[in-house]
Amino acid sequence: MNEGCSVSLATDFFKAFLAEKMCAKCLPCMLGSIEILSLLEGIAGGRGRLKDIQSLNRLAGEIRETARCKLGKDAADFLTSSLEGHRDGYLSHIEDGVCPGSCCEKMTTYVIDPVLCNACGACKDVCQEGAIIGEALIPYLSDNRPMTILSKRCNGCGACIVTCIGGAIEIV
Amino acid sequence: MKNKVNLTINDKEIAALEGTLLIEAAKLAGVDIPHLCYCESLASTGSCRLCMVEVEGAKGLIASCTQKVKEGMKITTDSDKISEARRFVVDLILSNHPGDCLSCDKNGICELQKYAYELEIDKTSFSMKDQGYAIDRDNPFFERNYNLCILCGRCVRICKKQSGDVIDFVKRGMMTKVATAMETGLLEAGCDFCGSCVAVCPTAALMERDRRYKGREWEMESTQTTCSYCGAGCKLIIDSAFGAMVRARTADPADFICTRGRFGFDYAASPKRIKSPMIKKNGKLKEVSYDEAIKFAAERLKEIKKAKGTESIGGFIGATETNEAIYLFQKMLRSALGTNNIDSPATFLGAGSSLELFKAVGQDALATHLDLETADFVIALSDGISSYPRLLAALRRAASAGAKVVTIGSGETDKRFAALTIKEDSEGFALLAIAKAMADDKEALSKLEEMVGFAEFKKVLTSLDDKSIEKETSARAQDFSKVAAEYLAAKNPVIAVGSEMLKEENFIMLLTALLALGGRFKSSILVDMALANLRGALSMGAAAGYYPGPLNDDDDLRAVMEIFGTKLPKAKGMRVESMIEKMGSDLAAFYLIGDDLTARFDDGAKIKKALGSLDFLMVQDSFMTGAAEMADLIIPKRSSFEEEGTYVSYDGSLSQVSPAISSDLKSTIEVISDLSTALGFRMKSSSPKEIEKEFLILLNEAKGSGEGKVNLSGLNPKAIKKPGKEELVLSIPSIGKFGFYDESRILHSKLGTVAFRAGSSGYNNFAQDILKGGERDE
Repeated sequence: MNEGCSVSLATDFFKAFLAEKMCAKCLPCMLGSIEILSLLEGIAGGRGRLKDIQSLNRLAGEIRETARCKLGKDAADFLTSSLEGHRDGYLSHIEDGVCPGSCCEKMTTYVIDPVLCNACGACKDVCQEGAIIGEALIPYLSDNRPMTILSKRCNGCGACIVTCIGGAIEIV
Repeated sequence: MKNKVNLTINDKEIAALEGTLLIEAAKLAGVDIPHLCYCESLASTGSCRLCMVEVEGAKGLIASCTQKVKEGMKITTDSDKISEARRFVVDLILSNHPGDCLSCDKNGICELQKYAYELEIDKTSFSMKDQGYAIDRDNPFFERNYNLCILCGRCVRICKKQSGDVIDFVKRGMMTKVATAMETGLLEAGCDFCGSCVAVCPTAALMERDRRYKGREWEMESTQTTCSYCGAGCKLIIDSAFGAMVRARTADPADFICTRGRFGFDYAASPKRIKSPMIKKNGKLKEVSYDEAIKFAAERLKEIKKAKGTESIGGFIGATETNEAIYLFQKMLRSALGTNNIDSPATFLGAGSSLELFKAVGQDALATHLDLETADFVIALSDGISSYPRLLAALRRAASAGAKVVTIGSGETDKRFAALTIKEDSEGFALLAIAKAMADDKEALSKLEEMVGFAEFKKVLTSLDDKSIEKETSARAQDFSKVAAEYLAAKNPVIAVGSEMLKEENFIMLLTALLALGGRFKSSILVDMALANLRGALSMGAAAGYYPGPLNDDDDLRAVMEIFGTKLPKAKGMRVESMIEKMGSDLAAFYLIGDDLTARFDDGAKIKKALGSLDFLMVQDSFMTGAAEMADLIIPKRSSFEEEGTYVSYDGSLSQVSPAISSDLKSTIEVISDLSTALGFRMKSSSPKEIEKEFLILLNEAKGSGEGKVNLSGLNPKAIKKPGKEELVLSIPSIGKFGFYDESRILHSKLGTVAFRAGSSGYNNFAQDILKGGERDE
């Protein structure tokens, strides 16, 4: 899902780190990773600011310095290299509101290709947010309203993509 | 002997002992490294990462609370890199800690606040997180606010070291918090509520409930005094604000004081205190002035003395009074009234017996709690040990420092101890079994050969077989052999007992024999005292047969007479058992201070009846006790937080008692002086300092008198039993987990809630009342 998006890669890394490895035996690692995760989620959610990158750099650098064990230091190193290697990716999230990997939910639009759509209505059924409108095609009847995704309602969960057998839903 | 290591801290060369932590070494060099999780005398965990320092040649920063000194180390404790790291850590902690300093009671002594100020952090630069935990108020003593907790772990470590070991970190990762196993209530988890955790908490996560909103740190006045609850002589600092006590603490927060010491001061502010003298007329109490009360007492005492003789007057003083009060009390009875009918709990709670023990083994054998904590092998008689909380804490400290602690008793003990469970009341036999096992060692036995009564003692031991040991104690004989072998092999073993255990002569002899078999006559036996001034009561001569010093009837009493300025009464005097027996017949007047005899012994109703049959009963107490209800004259007594004087602690040292709050009431000394004057005997000294000077002369007089030789004759295994059960007319009440010897104070304090806990549903109601802010004195 998140190939090409360094922000969601880092978010997933810290989610997993907090859930598994992080032992909470030293404060900078514990409180720092929580803070890092909340900043990363902010960036992925479109609330990022330029000073967040500064904060992240400080967090990574200081956790590297103060954490008690290698796990914390490694996590910090991961973040540092992510920030250095994919600076453009972070900037495009923050400044342009665009996720280069098209995977950050808040920054993507789901659309239905009317040519590929066979109007079966399966996507409409799985959508939790009720973001898909349109009428399913009834045989021998014409003039059905085509399936459309309301991007305002869409939360980008991606359930419709998995459901669609025709491959008509894509992320732009 | 440890070697010295040379190192440089901030260009200053110092030498520290091997094994010293960097943070301690820096202190020697006069540098205070910021720290939150590190606490002196507790093991370091290195979790806050605030104490980071630069070490030359090391990669990155080093936590100075976990790094030990090494030869030639060069350390910088302050640099840009370090202060940046420290700012980062405090910044992060503040992102998780509400900055409610405005009305926080820790304001001023909060360590987090201190470092935020020093590092110039106004507010966190990270996003503020609200943990949203509810404040835990499940007990009446302290509250736990998880939102303010910074997970430094000091409370966890101190609980493991010296308290009940009931809290630890639970869950992990982001959900980590400090709680009991399965997150049950503290009470259920077996917490002692000693409050050690509260004392070491760097923030306001743990706070005394009494202290909340009662005064800021800079509004408090501190008074140094001695705890009045047991004979351990713990040094307390009482902080008072606006004329009321708000907190009790120790100078070093990691020192131990028990529940009673830390939270038991609130009885002094109870609305049920007796506030004025009262005379009973036609069955009704009437408030009178002090002058009137003293005049009334003097008249009645004179009448009775004239009509029935001096031997019809008696007195009893509690062992929580100061030396000065006790000394003056016995002097008044002996000089002004001419009677030797005087007693105190010293006689039946074991102060006299411990004196005999020290005479037999020598004063050097007396160990302190500190000796116990550094011992490598400890034998403790554990039944009733809960009434000696300081001793229990010392045992726990010893066990967590790696010593083997063997407890001998029938009840449950701490999981940190090796428990040797025996039948109830068979401690004497257990000691005998250990002595026998030791005597199997030829070398140990040879140490006794020179001593008086050796042959007799040896005969007793050899006549003992495994079968009878097992029958009497219901423990296996080889267990005792194991204890004996370990005792003989240990480097500095200590035997610890509570004073009330020592009631019987056989105990004294058995303990003497154990010390002799091991050849341990230096810091090897600890006798803790059940009441604050139990040793003092004896030293001040508040017992028939003892005079201040303590000097015996057999000793040269000229010095006493000289200081008293009168002749001493001829009759030997009665102890409390005989006095109670004779009440209503031979004994007509009784003066009782600071001890509720009706609650002291099991047979309260009988004692109450006896007190009622007196011609004149004068009671001086703080509360309307069972004895006070029978009194013809009641005089209010100051609490021990209002009195001035001294106590004699378990180790024989004099410790100062100072008033933490002022009182309108007359002190016990003033009342006794006034009464004595009214009786026609003017006391030479009337201020605490003068009285102290007077009795110190006698104390020094007694010091010289005999330290006897170890005498082993007269041991009779058939007569060995737990003391205090049969030979006394009155038996000592059995004590529960929180054996409180002075009910009247406890019941008017929050401590009552804990006293109720032993299996009664009363606790919950009582605690609930307090939690709801209801009436405390129920």
